[in-house]
Amino acid sequence: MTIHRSDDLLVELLPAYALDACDPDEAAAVEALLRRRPELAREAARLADAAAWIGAAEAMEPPPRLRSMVFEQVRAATSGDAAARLYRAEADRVAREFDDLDAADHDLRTPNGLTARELVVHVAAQESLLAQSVGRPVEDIDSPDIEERTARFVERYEARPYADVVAAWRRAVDAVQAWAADPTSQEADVEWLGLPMSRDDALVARSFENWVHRDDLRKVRGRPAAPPSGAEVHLMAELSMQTLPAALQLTGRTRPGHTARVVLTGDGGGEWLVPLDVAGPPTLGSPDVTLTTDVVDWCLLAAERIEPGELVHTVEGDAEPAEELLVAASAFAVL
Amino acid sequence: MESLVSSQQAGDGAARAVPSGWEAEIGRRLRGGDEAALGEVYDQYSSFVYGLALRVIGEQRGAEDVSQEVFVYLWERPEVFDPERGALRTWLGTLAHRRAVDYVRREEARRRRSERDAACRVTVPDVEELATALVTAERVRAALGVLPPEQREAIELAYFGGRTYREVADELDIPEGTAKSRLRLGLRRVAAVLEPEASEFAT
Repeated sequence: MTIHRSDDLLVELLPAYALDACDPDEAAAVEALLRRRPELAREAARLADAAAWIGAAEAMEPPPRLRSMVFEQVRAATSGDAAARLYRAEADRVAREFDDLDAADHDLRTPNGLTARELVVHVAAQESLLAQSVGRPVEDIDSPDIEERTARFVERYEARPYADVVAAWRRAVDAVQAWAADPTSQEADVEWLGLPMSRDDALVARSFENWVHRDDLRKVRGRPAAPPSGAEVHLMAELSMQTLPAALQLTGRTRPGHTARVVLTGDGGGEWLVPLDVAGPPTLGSPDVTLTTDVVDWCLLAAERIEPGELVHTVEGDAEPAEELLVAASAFAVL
Repeated sequence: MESLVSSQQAGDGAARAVPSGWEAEIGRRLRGGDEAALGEVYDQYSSFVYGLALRVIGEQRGAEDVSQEVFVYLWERPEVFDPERGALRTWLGTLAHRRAVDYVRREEARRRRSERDAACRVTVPDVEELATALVTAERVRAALGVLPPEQREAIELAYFGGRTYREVADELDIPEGTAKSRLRLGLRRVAAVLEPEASEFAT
């Protein structure tokens, strides 16, 4: 609605605004009014006080665990624990995407061949696999093979309400977060996607997959992609660089003694020297090739959402290892 | 108990609360990253925040999520709470209510608070806090009780039911203007009745 509202009409809306009972555009207009006319702030504050007092009628002791949940999160936010923060932020975004998925969208076909609903089931299967890998299982399906696991989850949840799937996913997220909040997790080795990983890498890897899948859901519903922040994307790009040598080995493309420089541009980008073999440190300063591309595109390549042939990039130096890197980059992408 | 909330006098007309010593101190400590300060806020207001969220959302899980968001938000952005501009309880209540309403509106399409009755009405570690909360709750119920039923109904639908005034109008089958004016008259009346009580949450 773009109709002009006179100030008087907006003043009349102040009580509804204090009760959060305005439509979003009206609420925005009331907020603009309050900025424009500070003399109304007193009345607005008085109404906000009254509304909060109405809420006080419902005071009720929360479950004791709420206190520890709050402080776990506060400590994660304070500790500079970037991996745990990323995991939580991505899980929140996934939750919103799941919440927004209407029943009418459930049968939409996503890029990996699953329906939207099956994709949600797949994410729940993945999340519960991580919970299982860190010793906090939440389901009795224990297959470590993600495709088989997804198939069993699909079977289990086929006839059950969508809310059950989301609840199963939430249980797994809670289990992983509780594990990550436990200081002993810092020392843990986690197996994820067949690779031994540190706690932080496992959290980043899962967050990466979450991003890709929530964008899958957005895409089939015609919504624009919503990549994480630059700082978050940087963590994912970093992980992808760390795993590149293993990816080259897995795909039979190693070049012992050789090095590539990868320059990722855009918010969250950076520069990495990558050994083209699992053994040995990079020969600093003497890369055979420099590959330059956008950091988000690189991540989408690693997630198999962009094909090597589609990636906009430049190569300086020996083209062949660069092309091999592009092919190997997605070696660990699943679904 | 010392006077705490919103001694908003007429004068320059701007909203200026007189913060209690405790609130001003809490604001300062939160900005300094003092975790114990958040603990005090939590102990004082978690029943208020959680109870409000539970009433609006109708299920425990969502109420916990919203409560957690509220306290973590205060921790992460302590500068957005300005004791000079209003009481901490109003700030927390406004944020909790808004988040709870957002939550309900997101959920709306699927399920409508079927588990409300399952919400567990339990209690009680801190007797004094609880007593304060119960006394307050009592007074607020009394204040709501003085409202004409049609105003009370409109306010409850909007505030606890998460409805916009248009939805209130639809649901009660009354014109939008009537819904707006019932909310207006009702909330102003509650404000008038409760203002003398506003010293209740002194610390």
